Amino acid sequence: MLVLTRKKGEMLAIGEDILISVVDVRGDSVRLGIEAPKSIPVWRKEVLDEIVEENRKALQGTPSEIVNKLFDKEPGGSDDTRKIT
Amino acid sequence: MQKLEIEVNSVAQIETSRFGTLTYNEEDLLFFPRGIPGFSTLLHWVVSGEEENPVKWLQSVDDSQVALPITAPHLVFPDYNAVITKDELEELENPATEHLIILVVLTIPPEKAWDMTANLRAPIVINTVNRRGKQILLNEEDYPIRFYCFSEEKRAFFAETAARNRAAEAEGEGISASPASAGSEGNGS
Repeated sequence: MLVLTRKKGEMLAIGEDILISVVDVRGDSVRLGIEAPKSIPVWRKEVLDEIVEENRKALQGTPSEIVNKLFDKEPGGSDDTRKIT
Repeated sequence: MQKLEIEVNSVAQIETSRFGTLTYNEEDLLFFPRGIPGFSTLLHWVVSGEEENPVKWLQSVDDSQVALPITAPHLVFPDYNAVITKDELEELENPATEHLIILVVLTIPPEKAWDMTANLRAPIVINTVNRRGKQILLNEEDYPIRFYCFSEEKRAFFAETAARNRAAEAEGEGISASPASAGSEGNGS
């Protein structure tokens, strides 16, 4: 891993498209400013990890007819997902 | 940038682990330019499932083993109101609201389906016109990644019913046809 030292107000460029600036340093907290193309998602790593884990867990699905029966018990269900198929 | 080629009336097939041979029209193909977190190399998906079932499957076309259960968010959270920024929609080429579909990924514990949760924090958004999709992260931290789809009472009821049915099965008595009982069997279809 590349490790660089930067001072408050200084920046890093990742390629030509992504700029990261050190906005503020207080105690053990660093505020970073990120300029990146909108197509590149910027996520807090621990949140991304959680989403990845949840998506992977979603894979171990149960047969859908069981799930359907559970929803049958739910009053007032709408059928909005149908229009996408 | 890769482009989704839409061929009208062209039919394709994939062998899936969940549905067997799945036939789909190529015009129904969805293109996720960055995949989905955890499946970042899987760019092509189709929505599959039974007509009357509120839970559908986002089936990967690139990896037949991968299918994620999804549903409409307001089925589990009636007041769901995801604020999606313009920036997030730019990659989908700025669909009008009526061309935007929002779905949530479900996590369904195999042994107790009634404890299924919906990821309200990171919905899947799809532009129905160009059929591009992505999973986005909402800023609203009050939308949880794991939100129970059923109330506590309902989950308790399903769990009790399942336990009763298991006990009845163990005693060799008649098996109740209650839906919750099926959760422990995991029979594939």
